[in-house]
Amino acid sequence: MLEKILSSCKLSSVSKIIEHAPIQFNRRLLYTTPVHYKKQAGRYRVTHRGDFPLTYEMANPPHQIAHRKSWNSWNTSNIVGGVRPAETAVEDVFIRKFMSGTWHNLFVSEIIIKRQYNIIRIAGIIQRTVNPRKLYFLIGYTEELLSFWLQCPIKLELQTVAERKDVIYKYI
Amino acid sequence: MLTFSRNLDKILLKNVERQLAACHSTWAEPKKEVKDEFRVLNLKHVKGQTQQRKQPRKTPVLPPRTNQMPVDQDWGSVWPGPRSFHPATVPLPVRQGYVEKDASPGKFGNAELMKIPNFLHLTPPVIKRQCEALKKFCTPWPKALDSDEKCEKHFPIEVTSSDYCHSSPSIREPLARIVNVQFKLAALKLNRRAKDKFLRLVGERYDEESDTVTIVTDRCPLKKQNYDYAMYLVTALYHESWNVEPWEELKTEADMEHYVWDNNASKASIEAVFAKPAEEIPNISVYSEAVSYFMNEGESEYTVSKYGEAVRRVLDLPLLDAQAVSEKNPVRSRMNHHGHAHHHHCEIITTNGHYMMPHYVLQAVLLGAAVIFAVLVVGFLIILDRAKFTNVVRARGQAQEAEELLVQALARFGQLNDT
Repeated sequence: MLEKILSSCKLSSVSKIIEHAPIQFNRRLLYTTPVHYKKQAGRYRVTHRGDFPLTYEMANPPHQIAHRKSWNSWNTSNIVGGVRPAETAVEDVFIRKFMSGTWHNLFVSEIIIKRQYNIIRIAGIIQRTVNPRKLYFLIGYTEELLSFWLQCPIKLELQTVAERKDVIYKYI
Repeated sequence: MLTFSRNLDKILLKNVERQLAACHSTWAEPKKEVKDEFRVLNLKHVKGQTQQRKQPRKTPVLPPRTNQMPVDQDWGSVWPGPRSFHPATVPLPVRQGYVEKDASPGKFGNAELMKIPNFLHLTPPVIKRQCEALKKFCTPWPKALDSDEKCEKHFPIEVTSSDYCHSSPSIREPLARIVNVQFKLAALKLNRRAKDKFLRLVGERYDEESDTVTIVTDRCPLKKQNYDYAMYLVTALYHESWNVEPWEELKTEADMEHYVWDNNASKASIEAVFAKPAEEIPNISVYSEAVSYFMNEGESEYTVSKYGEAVRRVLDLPLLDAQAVSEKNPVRSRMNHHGHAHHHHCEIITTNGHYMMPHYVLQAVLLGAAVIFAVLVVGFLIILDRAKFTNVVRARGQAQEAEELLVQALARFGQLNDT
């Protein structure tokens, strides 16, 4: 591979030298290009009109976790000596996907997953756009199905707001 | 019937999207009111047919419970167990969050308050109530065990193991199997030989400073098994250290690890000197201690001086000034010596020989060595001087010879000139 590149660059003499030298893949190279700290994750672009709504969670970029905002998953898996970190992470992703699909367009906050002993408590803020009867059904449905899949008790602890505007922190 | 107008206008489309993102769409449940038979496709955005958005359904919502709560309510029944924060249930004006140049966000619609763990279910009266409920399952502390010393005396073994509480569906934790058993060596009834053997068996598990033996067992999968194994180890160690093997009787004085004065020739010789048993000799304990200390610690300034002092005491000789001072403040002299072990002079006091070389003989030997050394140095200097002297003499002789040769040569030259 290296030879091909070198020959294409018409550096045959160099390639001959390198031909006999063992190729070391673990060598360390000096990278002189200036670093471009273009961090984009968890940040929102400012709009011209300044009318893009942000919740408190969205308004604070990830480096503010543990300073201005806290984590959305609470468990002991990732502390030193914690057990089954990978399983916990995958289960959390599954719970989030299930919740956002089942409670479609109802959650106006992030889904907070708190684990205590073998209990999983799912918290969040929903808006009151559906019938309370439907909400009761969804709560039972979610708790039943998730506890069947994850084999542990699930509790849903929801708070309702009248509309999405109630959780908007600022507009950008 | 609800009419939907489709806007081709780009800006309007963007607006709609944004509103969709920002607000909840209510299109999932169309109203069943019938205005026209058919929906009209409004290609050009005619002003008369504006988009009709459905107003969100207004469900009657009760005011928060906190408004109706009496002041003297039983909070333990309102919030019985661990639960995420709920603003309508907690009658506290709490706030959480950071806002630049403004007050923090309030408790309604605040996800940060729901994230953090709360202890609203563990208020002091609730804890008191739970303790009262648990009291009937507890037994009083035995009155006889009123001090730590008594506890240690009656329950010498201390067993430590850990339980782990993870937030996981499994209650298994491999680290919970480890059992740590500690006890004081003094609690075991062992004689000197058995204690020595016990210490050899436990090795580094014995801590000399606290006189504690620590046994950690983790090889079995369960805590119970590890505990049983640890108890088995303690029992086996105890009985094994009392065992005497036939080959142990073959141990001679040369195999001893420590110098024991009672077993050695030093005792026999001092008994021979005083012609009475060692117990009756005055100050013998000082002497035996000094000899043992010297033999066990090795030769150093401190051990030698201590030995000399002991000899003077036993023989009832006057003490040296330095020894009298060291007697007054022994700690300081102890600090001066730092246990330099010089084993090459140990045989001056023989363990199995028939003579003993006291302290003053050692001084005489040292003095003789010093005199010999001084003589040697003086002799060397004289030789050096002589060597220098002969060089000068030889040089002078050579100069004289050269002078004579010159005189002869000049005379010869004169004779040649004359002829």
